[in-house]
Amino acid sequence: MNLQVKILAIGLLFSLSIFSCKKDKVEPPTTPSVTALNIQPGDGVFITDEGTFQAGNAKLSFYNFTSGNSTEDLFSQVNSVPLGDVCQSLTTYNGKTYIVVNNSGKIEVVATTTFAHQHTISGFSSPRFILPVSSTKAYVSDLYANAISIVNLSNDTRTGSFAFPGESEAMVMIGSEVFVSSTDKGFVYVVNPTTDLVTDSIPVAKGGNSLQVDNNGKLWVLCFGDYATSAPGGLYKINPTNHTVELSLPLTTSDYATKLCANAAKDTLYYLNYSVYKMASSNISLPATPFITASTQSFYAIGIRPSNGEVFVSDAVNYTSNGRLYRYSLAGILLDDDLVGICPGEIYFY
Amino acid sequence: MKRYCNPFVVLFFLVAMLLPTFHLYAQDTIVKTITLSNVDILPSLRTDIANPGLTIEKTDSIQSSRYSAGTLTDLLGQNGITFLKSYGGGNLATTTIRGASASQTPLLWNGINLQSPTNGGLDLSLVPAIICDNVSLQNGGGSSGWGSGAIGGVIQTNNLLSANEGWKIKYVGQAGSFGEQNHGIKIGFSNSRFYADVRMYRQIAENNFTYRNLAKDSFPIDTMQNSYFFQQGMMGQVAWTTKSQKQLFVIRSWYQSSDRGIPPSMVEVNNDLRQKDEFSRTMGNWKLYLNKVELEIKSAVLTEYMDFYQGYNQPNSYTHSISLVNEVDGKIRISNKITNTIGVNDTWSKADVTQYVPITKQNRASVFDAVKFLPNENWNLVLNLREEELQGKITPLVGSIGAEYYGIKFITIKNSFSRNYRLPTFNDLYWQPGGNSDLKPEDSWNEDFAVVFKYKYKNVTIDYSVTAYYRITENWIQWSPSSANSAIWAPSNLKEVWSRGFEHRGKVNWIKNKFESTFIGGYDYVRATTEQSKVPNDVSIGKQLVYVPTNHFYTLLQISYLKYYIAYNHQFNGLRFTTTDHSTYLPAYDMAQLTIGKRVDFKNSFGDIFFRVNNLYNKEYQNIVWRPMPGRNFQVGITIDFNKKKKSKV
Repeated sequence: MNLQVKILAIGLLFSLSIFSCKKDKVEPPTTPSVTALNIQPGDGVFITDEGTFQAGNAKLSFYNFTSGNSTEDLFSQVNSVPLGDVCQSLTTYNGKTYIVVNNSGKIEVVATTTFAHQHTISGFSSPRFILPVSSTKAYVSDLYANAISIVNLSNDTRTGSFAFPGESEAMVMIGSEVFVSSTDKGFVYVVNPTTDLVTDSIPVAKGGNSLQVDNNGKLWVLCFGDYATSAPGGLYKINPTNHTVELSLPLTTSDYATKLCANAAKDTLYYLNYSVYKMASSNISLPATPFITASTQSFYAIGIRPSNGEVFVSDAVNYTSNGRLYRYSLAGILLDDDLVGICPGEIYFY
Repeated sequence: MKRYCNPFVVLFFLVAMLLPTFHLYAQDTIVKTITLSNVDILPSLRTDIANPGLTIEKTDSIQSSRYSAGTLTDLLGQNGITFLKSYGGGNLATTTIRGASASQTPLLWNGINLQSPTNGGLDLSLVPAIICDNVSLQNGGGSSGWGSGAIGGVIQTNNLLSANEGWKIKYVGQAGSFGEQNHGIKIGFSNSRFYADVRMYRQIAENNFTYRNLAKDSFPIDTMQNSYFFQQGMMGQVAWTTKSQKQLFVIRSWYQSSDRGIPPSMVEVNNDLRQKDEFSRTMGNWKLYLNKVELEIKSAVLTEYMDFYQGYNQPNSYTHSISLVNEVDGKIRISNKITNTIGVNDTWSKADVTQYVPITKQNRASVFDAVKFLPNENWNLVLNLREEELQGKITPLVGSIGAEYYGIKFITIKNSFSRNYRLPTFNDLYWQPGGNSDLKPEDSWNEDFAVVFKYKYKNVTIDYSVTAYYRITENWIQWSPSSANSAIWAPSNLKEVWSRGFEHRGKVNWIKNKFESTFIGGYDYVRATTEQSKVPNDVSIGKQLVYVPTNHFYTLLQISYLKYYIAYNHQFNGLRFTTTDHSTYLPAYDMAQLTIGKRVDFKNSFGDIFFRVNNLYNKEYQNIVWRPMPGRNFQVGITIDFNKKKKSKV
């Protein structure tokens, strides 16, 4: 073979080998399409999925009671834009659903029945929860701002903020006062919603992450403590009328208690401490054994279905891939489980 | 303190040191002299025992000449030589060679590892190309030669010396879209025994490019905020040989300060993140060449300071570390077929990091011994063993066996089988909360096989290589929520990763009449999957690691005629999954560049001017999810060499 042909052959072989790549056959995940929505009370349950930090993969999952199926992300399916980064919580008020997206510093407002997007409220630093305090005003708690934002509910805009001593987290309104828990200060703070001022503080433990009012009108706060200073958390019962702590139930530094909630009658409290625990609101000590024990799951949120007391528990699995939602009977028997988004942080029944 | 107590190791060293008395060959009469101009051609003591069996890819002058005013991110990433995980603009860019992370791929500067002791990484945007006189990439492990961290590969950059060139001044400058302005100047002097140079540089960019915001309703066009880049520094080196030309001294010192805005991604709002990086790296080198022995002593002081402002009036997060490195290497020519190289390294590091309490210190010492055997002119065989000790704990013995066969005309066959490791970083061990001081080092077994073809006929040269590799890494360190407290993340030896694939590299150069054409191409096929995991219900088993493309392809075609040239550069990056369960991914994309340039001659100097279009097809793509990347943009640059003899072609 003469040299020219040799060179050509080598060149051909060379270019063939460069182009002979075996392409991976990848099937992108498909999601079921959702036609016009008409969500009515009692239809299902919403799960806010945080996603992974900075990955912009927050979702709002919806579990339908009738069909038993879940939709991984209701928001982006109806509105064709992603929800954002770290979906923290949602609140339904006056026909609208307010979805707090923490690391995108915004609240998405959608119509509750159709989930069609109406407004985006922006201007927050690191918003956590939203609580309507009147028909025209809502408070938004915040992780970094050392302030609570004020939102005008008539036009869905953020109008300002007022100073708060630290990280604000859960909020509940009792009578004409707003009670706010703090994850870095060991107090529950009392705010006057007319003057927007902090008026009092009630000493509990650090890590106050969830609040629940019981059937006797008492306010319970659950605290996970503080890892850095080895301070334990605890469960505290507060009298909202005179701002005193009536019952103090401390935990240990190996506990991590979150997601305090109650059934519709508010006579039974539930919370997470790796496993699910439950106790009557009249109890004066913490339950010794779990109600639902976690085996390999990483339980992340609880919700109690108002109509029949079923216990819904979410599992974050390994916190970086899709989680699961479990449905247990009143007696703690597993009935159902389904796939939801990453880090399913809060469960809301509508 | 009990060290090196492994009896096998002790025996090996005893035998190695006794070898000269067992083999009495005729005296080696090769007289080695060291001059400033040949010191770079002589392999460094480590190079000829760390490289055999592995494919080493050096950047071609065409690939590097038009990036000398930029950073390594531009040089390696824009050329497509390796796929980089880049946050865009002048922000963080790291390697993913064969699925390995930045902490598993050291960057060696004149043989000194620049990886940070705190997080083990190296940001390529903080390495300006003007510092890198040459750049080479070694894919495949190199721990036996270079120590902890070399699991995925090694990037090497060296500073060159020269002799008898008198005074030389070189200016490199580049200006581009989005407020980019880079200047660099290098002034050097050399005579027969002395060399000195100093280089100074400043790189500025606004990076305020526009992009379609895919996270907002109706995808509005937004402008990048808080993405500025400011970097300046200087480096000097002084070298001299003794009259006898048996000893060489080199001192180098490099200082740099960078200030960057960290822009929010499309789904974030925080516009206030800023990062300042400052480092100084000084090294000294003494080489001695005798008849049968070469000795090298190297010392380096590396300091790093990083200050990170996270906005929201949160306190700054800072990292301050200092490392002292001391190395002694000796090469003994036992016969004209056998050479033994032995080396000892001691690295002492101290880190003061906001998240560590208290200030943390660490000392590690290692020793390696390599035997190189050349039975005839067709074979090159190297056996290399290394042992490292960290705070009283001994790492497992690592080593490599490399073989190269030259017996077939035009062809070299290479094979390397090695065990490599990576010690946990300071952050892995001492971060509060979460740091795990019981972590074991990552342990990796690597097999590389390559066929290299080189052919030259009249005006055509062809280079081609194909490499196949197989690597298993155990005790892969990864952070995940700890079982003790799910809100706290901690590192553990979580999984086993299996990486395998092949790489093609080719280059054709053809000169005809006054035309010179060069074609460079490469293709990487990487399958890097998680095989075992300690995480219960881990859905990533059997799946490709995130952000590692299976297919990566690059090509450069340059044609030059007299003093003009045109170069077209094209790369293809395959699909990358962004979550471990593969539920989301970033699509594959093509990227192209076009450069045209001309050489300009002045009386006593000559210059190169070029104009470049990046992202020629104005592709919209993401490298890290939700991080915008610039569309089509332009750069113009000039290089001027003063007081240099004229070259007859580009």
